[in-house]
Amino acid sequence: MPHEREAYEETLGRLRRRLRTLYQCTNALFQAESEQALLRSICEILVAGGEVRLAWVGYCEDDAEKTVRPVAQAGDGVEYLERLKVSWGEMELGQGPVGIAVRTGHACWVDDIRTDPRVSPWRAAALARGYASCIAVPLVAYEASRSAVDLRGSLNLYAAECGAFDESAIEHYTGLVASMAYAVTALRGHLAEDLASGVTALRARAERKRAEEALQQAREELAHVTRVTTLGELAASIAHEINQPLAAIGADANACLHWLAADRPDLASVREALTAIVKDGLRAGEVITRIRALLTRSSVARGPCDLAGVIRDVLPLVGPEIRRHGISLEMSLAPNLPQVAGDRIQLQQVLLNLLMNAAEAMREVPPVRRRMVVRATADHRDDGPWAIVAVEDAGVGFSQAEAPRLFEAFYTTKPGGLGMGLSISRSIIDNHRGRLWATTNSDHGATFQFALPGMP
Amino acid sequence: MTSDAPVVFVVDDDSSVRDSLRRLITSVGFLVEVFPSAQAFMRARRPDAPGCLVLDVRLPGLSGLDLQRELADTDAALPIIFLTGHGDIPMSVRAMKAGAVEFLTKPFREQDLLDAIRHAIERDRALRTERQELTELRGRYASLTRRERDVLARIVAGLLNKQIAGELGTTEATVKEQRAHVMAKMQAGSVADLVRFAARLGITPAGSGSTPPKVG
Repeated sequence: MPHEREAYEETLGRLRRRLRTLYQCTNALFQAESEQALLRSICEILVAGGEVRLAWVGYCEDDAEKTVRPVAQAGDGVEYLERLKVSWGEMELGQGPVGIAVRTGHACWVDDIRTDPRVSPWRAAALARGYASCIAVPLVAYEASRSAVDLRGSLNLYAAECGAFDESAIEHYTGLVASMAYAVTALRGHLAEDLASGVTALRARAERKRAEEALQQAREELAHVTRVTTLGELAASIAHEINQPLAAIGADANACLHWLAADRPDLASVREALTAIVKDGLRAGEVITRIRALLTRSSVARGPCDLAGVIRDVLPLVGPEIRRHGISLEMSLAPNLPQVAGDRIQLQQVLLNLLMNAAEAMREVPPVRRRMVVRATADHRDDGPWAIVAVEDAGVGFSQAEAPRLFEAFYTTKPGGLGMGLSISRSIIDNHRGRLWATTNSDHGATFQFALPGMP
Repeated sequence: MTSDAPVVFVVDDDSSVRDSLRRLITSVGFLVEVFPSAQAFMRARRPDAPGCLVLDVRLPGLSGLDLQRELADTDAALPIIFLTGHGDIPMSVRAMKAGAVEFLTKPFREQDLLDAIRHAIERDRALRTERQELTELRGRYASLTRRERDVLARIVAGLLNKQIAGELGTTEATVKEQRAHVMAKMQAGSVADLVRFAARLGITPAGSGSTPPKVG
């Protein structure tokens, strides 16, 4: 059907022209050196594109009449604008497409100026200049922070044909106006500032990240050093802890040899001894594994972590040292401890530090008072379950004056102490989104405890 | 009940070590009794038999060295073999000076421990014999009259009957008779025997004008 084909080709031609026009507009957006020049060249390009006879941009003013003041225009009949009175208020002059578009924030168009009642105040003048349809597209520019509207206005177009602004036109011009608003913001300097501050912020963030990484690395190295130092202090106890099962294994193995050498070997006894050998072999192996883990310089490896397990890992390492100081050690583990997300080795180190400190604090107190309690409890708070581990000693405690400094780096009350244990412990717990704090006991000594959020 | 079967006592707070020692020592034919602490050992009634003590140095409460000291103060001292997971030299020196038979570091060589145990038991057997003899000598000495003890002290000082009579203000014949009583009661075959017994009992020979020694 030739007629349909013609219509189709006409539409295609119009779209192609509009595309070219919009492309030119985009270039203008990037090249404009001033807001005024930008708006004017957009109007000129739109008119030159042939689709519209008149194009103008109006800005809303905050006067009593709520005037929409033309700030740029191009096309036939610009004198139309000289006497034009348009408002964005609720009065009659605000009921046209411009006022409606500004107030609603949506494009408003008139397909036939001759009949549409909304354009009645301007109909005669518009028809006199040959405008048959029109559209107003709201333009809103925001401040750099996007918190407040910087300017409000509209792009207004007039065509010689009725119904010139179809669905695609509305979409295209709405997109164009959004770009114009962005360009205006940029030209007003907001964007420049925005960009400048953005670059500064990015640079600062990168530097902070680098510093944090360096700090984290230093912290890990320091943590490693203190772990090694602590283990060094514990070396005698640990050697003891390994030698015990080794001695037992040797004795049992020899007992087996003796029994097997008999005329009628006592196999029941042999079996008993062999069972003990297996158990002690595992025991020695576990100690080695724990030490190896603590000696390995590991980056934070978070995983589900069972605090009761952490306690059971550490006690065999420090237990002998604690007993050597004549301290009785009690342990109380709540059965419903929530799992926490954490680094097992780091948490072991925290506990190791707390236990060693507690033992140290009791060195000068009478033997009968040397008692230490490790307590793990669950606390159900509004934000979910928490696991709390407390190490309670009956040692020398700390004074109110010392309290604020306890967790400071290089602060120590121990002769030969590094003053890093509690500081590292606190940073480890902080990194686990937990809390480490100290209180003095009502009778003797202090309680150091940490709380960690349970896993959901 | 007196029996000659030796008993090895083991005191160690580590149950693995304690039980393995019990098995090892049993496997070579000794009787074994194990204790988890020095206090438990002190509280226990021990059989009247030769024995020795295998003792961990580091014990909760009363340490191995403390126990050694306390045992030394009683008349039921036992030879001690110390075991330690981490023997430091001053500690072992102290233990050996205080009479320990052996100081072994864990893990120890089985043969070293068993040799030490046998050696310690032999020593205890000898000590027990000695202690028994001493007890008997004390009994014999206790049966002497006061005058007989005076005479004894002078015999072992090498005085002649005549000198003794002079010192004690009596006749030579009386001294001669008392001397015979002393030799018989003390079951001494010769003056040399008597001198040896007196030394064991800690009797100091009495010369002119000295007071007879008191023996407890």
